[in-house]
Amino acid sequence: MRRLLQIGMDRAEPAVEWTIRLCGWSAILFVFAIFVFVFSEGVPIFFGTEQIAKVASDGPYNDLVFRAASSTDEFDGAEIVFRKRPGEPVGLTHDAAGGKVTIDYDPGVSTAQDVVAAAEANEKFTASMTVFADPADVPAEGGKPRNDGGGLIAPNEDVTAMTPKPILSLGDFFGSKHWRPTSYYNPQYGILTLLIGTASVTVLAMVLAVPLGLGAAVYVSEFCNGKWKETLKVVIELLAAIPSVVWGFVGIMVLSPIILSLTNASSGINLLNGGIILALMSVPIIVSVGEDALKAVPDSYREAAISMGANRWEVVYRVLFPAAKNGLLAAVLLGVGRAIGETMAVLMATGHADIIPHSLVDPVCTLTATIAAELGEAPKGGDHYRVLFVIGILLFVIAMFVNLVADLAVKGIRGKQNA
Amino acid sequence: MSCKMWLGSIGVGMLSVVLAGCGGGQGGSGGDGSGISVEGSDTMVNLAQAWAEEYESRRPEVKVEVQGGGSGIGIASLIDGVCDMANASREMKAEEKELVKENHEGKEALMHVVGYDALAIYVQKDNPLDSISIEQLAEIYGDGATITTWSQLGVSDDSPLAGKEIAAVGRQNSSGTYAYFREAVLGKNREFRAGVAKMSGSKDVVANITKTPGAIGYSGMGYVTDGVKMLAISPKKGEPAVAPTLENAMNATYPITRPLMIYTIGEPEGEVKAYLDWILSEDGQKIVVDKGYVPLGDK
Repeated sequence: MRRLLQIGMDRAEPAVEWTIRLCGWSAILFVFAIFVFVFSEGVPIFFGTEQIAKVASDGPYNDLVFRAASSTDEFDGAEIVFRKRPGEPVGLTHDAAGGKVTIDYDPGVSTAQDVVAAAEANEKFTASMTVFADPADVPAEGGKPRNDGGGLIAPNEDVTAMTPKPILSLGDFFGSKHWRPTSYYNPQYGILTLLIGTASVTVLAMVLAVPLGLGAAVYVSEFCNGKWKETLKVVIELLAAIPSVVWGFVGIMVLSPIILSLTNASSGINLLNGGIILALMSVPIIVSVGEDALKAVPDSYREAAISMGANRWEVVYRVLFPAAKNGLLAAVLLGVGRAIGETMAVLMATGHADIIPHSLVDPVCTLTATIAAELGEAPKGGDHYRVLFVIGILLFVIAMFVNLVADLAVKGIRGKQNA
Repeated sequence: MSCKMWLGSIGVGMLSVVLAGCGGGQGGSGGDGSGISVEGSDTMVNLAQAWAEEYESRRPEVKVEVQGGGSGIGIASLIDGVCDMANASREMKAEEKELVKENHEGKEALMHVVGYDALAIYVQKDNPLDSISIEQLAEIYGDGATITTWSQLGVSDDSPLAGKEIAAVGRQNSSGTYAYFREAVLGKNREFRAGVAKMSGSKDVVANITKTPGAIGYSGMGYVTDGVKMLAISPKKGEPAVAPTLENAMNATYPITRPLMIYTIGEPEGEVKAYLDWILSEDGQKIVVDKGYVPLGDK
């Protein structure tokens, strides 16, 4: 009977081997396919341009900006021509063959506001207008307040042709704090607030989780024995199994009222709430990886230290920490990776409002939560959709960097042990 | 050798299961007569489900499948031909209309207004405030906001809210509710200020306000719960405030009411047409009222 079974297993061996290979290769293929997908959805935004023309007009220092509604090169270099038509309302026509956009207006009657309305009625354009009380207020570029206002148009020489401008420049992407992807006139894709949001909530989570996690790892590994040790390990690993939606719910239902009652915060879901939740989510990872790192330190180190008369704390602080430092660093970095990549819980617990936080109880908005909240409704293939994928690429890069450093740290331990 | 063949047959079997699964999915949602698939707006999902249940109870042979997700998702599904009707609380964008034409042999997307949604301004139940004007709302939510504390809204000094910051709650920037609120309250030229909490659903807005004493927020009138109250709104400062009631929304005195739409590709036919006609009929419109939305009426 055993012989028969043995024969059967021998026969099945190639099949098993191939199944394993297939699994391995398909995993690699899937990862690669995801990379290709995310890049192909995100990268085109860097090659996209929009056509913009600026028209200065008289009156309360109007600054009219025309924008082609669709990102085609149909308007590249199109000339803007003003044509006097007394007694007629403002009209806007586009002559694609002649490369001209003609604005008909009634001199002394038509206002800049009428031109904006005409552009809006034409599906191919949007137009925005800024009115400044004083010419000195007119800013050089970008970041303008937008007001309604009249002002007669008296076109002068300052009319420019429709010029292509990149939709997304890396400088604006990282440097601007205006995340307004669905603005009617002037979509802005600055992720500075989101980056700071992710960074602040991650740092706060780590400030809370690292002492807790490493402390628990030392306690479980060095101060506990037998059944108690096993129970603790199981319980801590159970924490890792709680779905992030549940964590988010805990943030809203449990932590939020506590924070409201203890602080003067206007809202209970904020940076502090998100940081605590993320810390609780990172602790199990830090504990289990950290405990492994401490376990990997040979017992001879401990015995040597004790024989020298070191007490428990000295063994941990003077011997185990230096010996296991790479593994502990890896544990912390994996915790950081968890905190940066977490989506659902931070979306629910951080308040998701895009400001740069000035205190612990201000709400924040993170990169991951932004993708989660906005991707579903962003028109497929549009600029907003593509920029969200670019954020995805950025998260890839961050995650890769963190994992790489963690990996190198772990390799560091092995190298030392072999030596 | 035999092992490889065995493996191969498993592979073929799995492939055929997957293919059959795909085929089944497409067949079920293609509008083949017995099934109607509806997808879209988060604002309308309660209503769409109520319509579907009632319709199925009257005509059990027709299956109506409803999914939420958001106006954008519904429209994307309509473009891809995955659903028959897309619920939308915003109008289709020019590029989306183009995509419909491209993917459906030149057929245009048709808009059907099926009801209205009055956006209510919610505060917590114990909030002393009863009414607010559109200008005040613009100064709370708009870029360069000047109203940041409850005292500025006239909350008396002995209230626990006095001097407290207003926690402005809104929707995520890709939602139809967000776009409508911006247009109706801030005007097309003004952006939202930074720091408005961007909730991912109509219900989430109300849930957040229930938990936060100093919060104010906008969401559909149908999402009212016991923990919150709706403010009366005056269209202009000094004008009398209009209570958020069905009558006021129907006679268009309530200032922030927006149309709810269903998009189809070309003129609806067969079961889809029958369903849409029923939605627009008296029976269908009665459900609109039951769910806290505003029916078409004679407006």
